Amino acid sequence: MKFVKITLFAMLAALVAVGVSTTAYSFHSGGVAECGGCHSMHSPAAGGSFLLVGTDQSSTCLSCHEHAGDTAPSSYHISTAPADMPAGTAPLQRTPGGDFGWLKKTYTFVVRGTTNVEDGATHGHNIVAVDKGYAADATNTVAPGGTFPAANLACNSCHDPHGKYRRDSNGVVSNTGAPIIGSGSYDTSVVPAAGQAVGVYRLLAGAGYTKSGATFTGVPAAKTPATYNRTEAVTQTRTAYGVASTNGHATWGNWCGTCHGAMHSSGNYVHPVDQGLGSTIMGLYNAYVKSGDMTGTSATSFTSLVPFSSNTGDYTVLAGLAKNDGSQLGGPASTDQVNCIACHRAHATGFPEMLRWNLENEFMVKNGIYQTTERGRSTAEAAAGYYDRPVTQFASYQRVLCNKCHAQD
Amino acid sequence: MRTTVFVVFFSVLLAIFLVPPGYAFHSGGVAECGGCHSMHSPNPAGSSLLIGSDQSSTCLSCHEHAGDAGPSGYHISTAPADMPDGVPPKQRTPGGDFGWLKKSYAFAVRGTTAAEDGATHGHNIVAADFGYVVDPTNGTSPGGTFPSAQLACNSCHDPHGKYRRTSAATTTIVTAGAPIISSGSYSDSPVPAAGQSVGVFRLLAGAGYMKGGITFPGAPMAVAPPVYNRTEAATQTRVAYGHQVLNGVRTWGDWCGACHPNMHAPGGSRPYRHPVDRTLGSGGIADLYNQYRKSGDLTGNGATSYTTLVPFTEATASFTVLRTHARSDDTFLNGPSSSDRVTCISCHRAHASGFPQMLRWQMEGEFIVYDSKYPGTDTTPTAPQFARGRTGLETQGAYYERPVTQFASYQRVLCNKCHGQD
Repeated sequence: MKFVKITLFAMLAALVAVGVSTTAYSFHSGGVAECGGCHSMHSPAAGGSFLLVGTDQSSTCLSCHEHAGDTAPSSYHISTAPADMPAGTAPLQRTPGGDFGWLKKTYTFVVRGTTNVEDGATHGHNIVAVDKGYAADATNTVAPGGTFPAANLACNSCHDPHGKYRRDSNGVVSNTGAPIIGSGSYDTSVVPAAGQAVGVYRLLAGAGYTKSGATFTGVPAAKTPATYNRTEAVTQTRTAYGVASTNGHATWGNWCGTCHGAMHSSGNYVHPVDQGLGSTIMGLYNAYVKSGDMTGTSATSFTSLVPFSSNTGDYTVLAGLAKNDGSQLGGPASTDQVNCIACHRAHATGFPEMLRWNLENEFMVKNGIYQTTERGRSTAEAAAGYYDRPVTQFASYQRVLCNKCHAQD
Repeated sequence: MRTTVFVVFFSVLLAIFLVPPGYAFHSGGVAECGGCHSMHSPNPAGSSLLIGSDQSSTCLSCHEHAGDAGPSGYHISTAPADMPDGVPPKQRTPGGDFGWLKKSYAFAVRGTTAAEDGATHGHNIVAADFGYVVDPTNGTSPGGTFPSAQLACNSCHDPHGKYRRTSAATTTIVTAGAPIISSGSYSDSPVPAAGQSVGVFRLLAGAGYMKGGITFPGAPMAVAPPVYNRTEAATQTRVAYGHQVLNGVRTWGDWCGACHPNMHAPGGSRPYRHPVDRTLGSGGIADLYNQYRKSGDLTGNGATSYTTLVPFTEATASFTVLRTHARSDDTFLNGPSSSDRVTCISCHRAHASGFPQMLRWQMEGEFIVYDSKYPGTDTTPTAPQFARGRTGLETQGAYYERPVTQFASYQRVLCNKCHGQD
């Protein structure tokens, strides 16, 4: 009996230890990491620069953020090694930004008797990471709608690798001042006290950050669940995007527009961005369930395939929305906004133009199955593009998700 | 009777207070031979009639002392019994306590048990009598060919202290000539008159000194305060490092490079490595160093910016100048000028430190201070990746007991002292 008690106590202690100990053994902790993780004072990569451990900047990032041998979504990994995604097998990671591995997924298929090739390079931002087999965009030599040289595109084009941008206890973003005590990206991130700061969302570039002639005007606001790299087969991973343009912030549209200025600049005849949805679009979004089904309600209408910016810069509010357990599926209010990431993922997707859904056909689901052979994909690849959500969430003949806001189907 | 007692007592007091504080043994050169060699009863396992079974053991027969309760004079190693689990080594010399080599730590990071071998904490001298063994990982000196099995105190120090700094106006180091009158290591060391000389800094190897197949190009210049083995809880112990490539003097980078040439090879063919012996530059690193106080705080100034955790070499080898900077009372905390330089010892201690790669600060995690505490298994139990198996007491000891309040509540690594990325 005594042995049983001791054993139970030991088991309980172990469970407590596991449960209480922090799960995030961070590296960046919202700011500059341990220098030796990226730089080597005595044995940097030959041919590189800045004493980096990789041949180039992105290779250095991927030395941690890609891990050969992964078999499923794995924490902070945002790229799948080629050996782990052979032909017919999709990239493994399911982060909100997407898996850069899709850039290596080129598909060949026949449409109306003509062989077509869908170049993997169209699937995302073509970071240059020589050590990991990522090359410059062969088609666009500069950022579409801008002048940023494609040959210079790297992780640090958008992320400040030293993570100097910080959000202090007053919600002000700057690149110096109060020390960064931890990441500010997550719903569970610590709230900075007076004299403290947390890192900005995803170490994104902030006001004054300049690369290849592009200068950012501020950081966009967002929060994501602490566990964010996961299948959405059962519940969705909701990143809560905000709207903020003061105190060192910029809207998501303006932030992306740093490099893609002419894509959505004000006054241009283009799809609106950073614009309130208004009552019509709001109503359609909330009512839309799937093609032909407009019986939805605002309480459950959210989909991570068509996210929006909540009209707030309050990180407490955003943290409350950033959930992965299906507890926050509320749709937009009329003042919430459409932005670039409503349609695109930031890194890469399984579809051209790094869109969140396949826009190359009228149907993304046909006869109850995801588009497969008609776009050169395996069934598994097609489902993975939608983060493994059951095809039954869609209509048996589901039209493209522009209809989530426009409901023309 | 009463008068006699008083005279005796007074004489004892005089003897205590008037005798110089340094009861020297080396006095800057070759010491009394019997201190290291025994003509009639040498250690049977040794050579050269040494009293220890090997060279380093002979040094440690004086430089380690079991029973020390704190930093003590010229001791540079702590006996194992004086540093049980959870307790740091005792000595706080600028070069560091070799005892850290015996401090191995085990801890779990991301669910995986990791081990930090004490051997990574410093130069693995072989001193069999004191439990110091050859480096288990590096067969030769990193970046060089010096055999690890031969690493000893006399690999870097000339035990006979033949190298001497002359009275010449421009610092000149030779290996013979004017007699050595005293140590030249300290701010209160004598200035040699014509026909005299003093020992080089710490009896370091000079031009032509050969061990393990390598030859030193010259001796580096530095001056230390006379009381140098001390806690830095209240004030720092500033060693003033100099720079010269002339008259038997070589840079610190060149000197370390005698054994580690490919770590930071100097000159025009400098390989792709962190710079060494390079000036801090105007409008660049020197300015950042002077502005940096702690993570997120760049309000410092050149008058008070110095830290012994990130020292630098000054653009001079003048003893007259360096002696005024070598202080242990914080009366000279000036930061670098643009012509001062980064060196190996800007980041590393020469003997050993409490951290891997004998670095002056913990580089294995992003935070060296967490939640206003020195990381420890006891102080920050929820952040084992920063404690790395140490107690808070051990971590504090590795920072020479400086108050944690000198840092930010969440202080990032001290690369930022020069690079200001936090």
